[in-house]
Amino acid sequence: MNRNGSKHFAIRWTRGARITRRTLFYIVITIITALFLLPFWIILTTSLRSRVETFNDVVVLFFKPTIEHYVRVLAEENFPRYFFNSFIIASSVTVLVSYLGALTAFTLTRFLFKGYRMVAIGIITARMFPPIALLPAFFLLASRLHLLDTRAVVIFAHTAYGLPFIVFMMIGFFYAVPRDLDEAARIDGCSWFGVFNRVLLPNVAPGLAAAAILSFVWSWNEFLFALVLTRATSKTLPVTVSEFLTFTQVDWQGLTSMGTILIVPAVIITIIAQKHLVRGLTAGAVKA
Amino acid sequence: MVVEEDDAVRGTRRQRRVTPYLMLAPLLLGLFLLVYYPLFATIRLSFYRYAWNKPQAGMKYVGLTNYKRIFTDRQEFWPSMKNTGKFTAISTSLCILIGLGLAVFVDREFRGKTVYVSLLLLPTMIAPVVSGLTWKFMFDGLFGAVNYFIGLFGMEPIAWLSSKKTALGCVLVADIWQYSPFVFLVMLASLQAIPIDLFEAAKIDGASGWRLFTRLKLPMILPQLLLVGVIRLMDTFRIFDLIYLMTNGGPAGSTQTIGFLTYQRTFRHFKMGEGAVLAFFTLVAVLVMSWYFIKALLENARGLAR
Amino acid sequence: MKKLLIVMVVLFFASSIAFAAGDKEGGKKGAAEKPEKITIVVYEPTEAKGMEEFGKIFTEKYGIEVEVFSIPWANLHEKIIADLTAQTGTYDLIAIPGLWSLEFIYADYIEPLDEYWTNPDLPSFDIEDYPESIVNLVADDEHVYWIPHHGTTQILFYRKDLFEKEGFSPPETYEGMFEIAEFFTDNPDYPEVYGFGTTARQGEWASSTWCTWIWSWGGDFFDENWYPIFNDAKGVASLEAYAEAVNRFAPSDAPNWGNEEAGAAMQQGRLAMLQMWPQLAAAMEDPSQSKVVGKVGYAPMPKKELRFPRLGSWGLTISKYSENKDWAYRYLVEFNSAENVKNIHRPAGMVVCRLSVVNELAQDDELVQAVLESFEHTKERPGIPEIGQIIDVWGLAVSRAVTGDASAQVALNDAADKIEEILRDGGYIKD
Repeated sequence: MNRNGSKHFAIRWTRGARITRRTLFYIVITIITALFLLPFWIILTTSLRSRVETFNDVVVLFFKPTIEHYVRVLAEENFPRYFFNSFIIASSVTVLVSYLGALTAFTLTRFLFKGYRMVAIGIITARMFPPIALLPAFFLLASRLHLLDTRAVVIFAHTAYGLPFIVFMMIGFFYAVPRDLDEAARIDGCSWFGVFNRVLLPNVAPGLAAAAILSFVWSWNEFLFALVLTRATSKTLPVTVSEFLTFTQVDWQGLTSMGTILIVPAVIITIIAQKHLVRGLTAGAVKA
Repeated sequence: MVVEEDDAVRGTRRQRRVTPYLMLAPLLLGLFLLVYYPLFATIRLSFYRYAWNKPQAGMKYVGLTNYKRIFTDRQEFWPSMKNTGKFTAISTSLCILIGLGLAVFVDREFRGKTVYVSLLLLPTMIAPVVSGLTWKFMFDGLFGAVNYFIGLFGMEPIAWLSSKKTALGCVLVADIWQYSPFVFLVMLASLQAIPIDLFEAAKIDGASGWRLFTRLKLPMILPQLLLVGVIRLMDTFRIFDLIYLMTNGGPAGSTQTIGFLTYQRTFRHFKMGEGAVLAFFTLVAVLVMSWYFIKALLENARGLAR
Repeated sequence: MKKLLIVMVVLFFASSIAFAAGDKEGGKKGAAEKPEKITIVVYEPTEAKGMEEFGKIFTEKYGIEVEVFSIPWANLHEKIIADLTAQTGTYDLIAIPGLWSLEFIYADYIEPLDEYWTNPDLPSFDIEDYPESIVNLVADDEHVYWIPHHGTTQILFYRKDLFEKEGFSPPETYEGMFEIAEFFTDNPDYPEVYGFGTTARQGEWASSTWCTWIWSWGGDFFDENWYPIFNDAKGVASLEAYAEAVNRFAPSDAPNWGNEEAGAAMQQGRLAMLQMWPQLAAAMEDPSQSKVVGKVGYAPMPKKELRFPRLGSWGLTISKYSENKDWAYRYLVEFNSAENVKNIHRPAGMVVCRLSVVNELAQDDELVQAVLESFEHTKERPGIPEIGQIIDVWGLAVSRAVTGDASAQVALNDAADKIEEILRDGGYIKD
């Protein structure tokens, strides 16, 4: 069968088959998604029922829901403060990480200075050290500087720890932006900072959006640093979630309600940014 | 054609040399304070005996005693290494396979794509405490969802978390569930980045399916693939919170990992010297394992820039 | 993408203003006579509730604010050690369990309270009204360092409705308990019921419940010279019995049970008997949680050679770094008055051990009576700083024996080797 013949055959065949292929695709993707989301169904149903009902009948499709647990969790005296803390911290971290990450990636890609490889490896190596091990020393340092229980110290810790991954991700983007753009700006008398802020950043903005989402979600959910470095003033929501695990039992209803509430901001940001996100990470891999 | 080195364009020599350092300064300072200073303090600590909850005993220099004690420990360290090796290898490879596979599968235009992608990303959005406890609950012998489902198929309930054979597998499931969406996200974006004209060119050449993937897509997404691989390698090697929530290292040490041991030594037993040895060991091990990949990543990324 | 940049810049400035302004609240205690605030750190929400309740009364009386921090039990120890190491003086009153007794005393973290109640300028306190065994946990030859507001032992929860039906009474001996457990397990009349449950998860849970068994068998962990003796015949026998009970009478995933899972099983009516702490009784009687409301009875754990359940205790101590010691002491003493124990602690759900109150309550309350009976022989493992690591070694050994990874003798021998090394290193074993 020659090439033309097979193509011709393929077109005729696919028109009918295309419908079935598409349906098959939807079936498969729906099954996969449903399987992935099963734990969420359990979390949701647990948050809407009582403990005795949850244990009696763990997987249900129909049940009588109650929102009393959500009410209880939201009515907690300090909930607004913890929410505020989490939000401030996550937002600040996001801004700092995105900007500094881009700045660092820019520096590493535009200036082929001696030892840039060492710096890059130093940056990624920083992320290899277990956070639990660096906490005692950092805690002592922070305490001596009287920075404990401030939002600033948590922001600092999150930013420093979250940067390495973002830097590496952004490196790809910066490589993709052609050098001619810098050259042109420099000829016009732009300083390097200017080149960065005015020429390059707008071009890698999609990558920034991607970095922003990843760092927001991570900082929003981060537990270990927040637990050790805060007390009452700057306590964050993930720390309060862990309080549902007591000596006597797990307060499932409180845990799942709080967990569901916590996930909402992250989801909102994902949905909003999804368009940017997809385009974003792409710019990095574009072949010039 | 050689571009003339023009001072006006490139800035003065001095400016060129100084500017990168200036721009890197904030990050490097931050990393120094948060990571490198504690890192050096920890390495130093590994040669001392120091119990955090025994300040009256002070810090005593003991040379390599901590190292000897950790590395000759048959009961805890070597079994933990074995478990960690298993865990890291399986989790990293499956996360990448599933994440990449899903990304390739979803990499096409269809209605409702935004919804599906958002839903598939949910596992990474949830707080680890919630997901860890939920998975433990799902694997519960009496009340768990997993036993409920296998019961529907007529199978007997299994004590998932109480059996040495299956406990680590359960932690793996929870870990892979939570992090393959992360891989999926990065891979999907990279795939969507591949310019359309390259696709067309490939199709004309008759490439499709598997060949399309290996010849065109894979090379384009390789840097990102390597990056997530390295990140997952790091994170699975250090895992401890899922283990603490689900099994506390049991049963009979079958879910005890290096990360968990480090956490125990540092925050439960307060033996800072031994904890330091484990932390330092983790750093070295991860560095060694990912050295090749990081190098490849840097080369590859530069290669794409041409 | 300019919009995105603008948004980011705005966010940045907004956040820097937000976190620059008024970041650190309070925390500054003057050297003045009367402090603004007293801070307490505790591990369990019920205790925090009791302390906050009384805190309101205290504030009204003296005008001093009382702030109670409740930190999850899982993270309490390291958080407190971190603060004490840095000597921040954040907490005036610290709740510690009997298990951290010697650690805190040796490290000089806490104040000797006897110096306070013998001080004529400060209110006195009737420490005699507390069980000696509990008070002496956090005391040395010269001083007492705490007031244990919480003291209890492990007891046996049992299904009194099922027992009544079959004509059983709570077992006096372990043999009796095994017989009853065997009856209920795999019994077609009771298809969903298992005979016995306990918390056997590797680590603190397994170690905590096995304690009761080894002591009841007449064994112990260390001799007077700190040599491990738990791998002797009695220790091994107790562990073998424990493993047998878990494997024969408990649901198949009891080897991974903590308090949550064991409690849930009992609440769902799946267990005929359960070795558990009295704190969980409230959960059994809560209809939104439990299917067995009103059906659970409470008895002391059975005897082998002795009846010797493990003691669980928590008490408040005054931090050495506190700047408000005298006022912290006043809170402590008033909080633990007999009146408050009855009227505030109990309703909040706290477990009490003040003898005058307990004796009064024991008359109508089966639960309190069970605990009171158990006070005859009860103790806690030695509260040395190394106990955390030692407990994990025991926990591993128990888990190995229960899952059949090793025989009880081998598992305990391995544990003894490791623990001997730890004790030698800590300077306890000298030779």
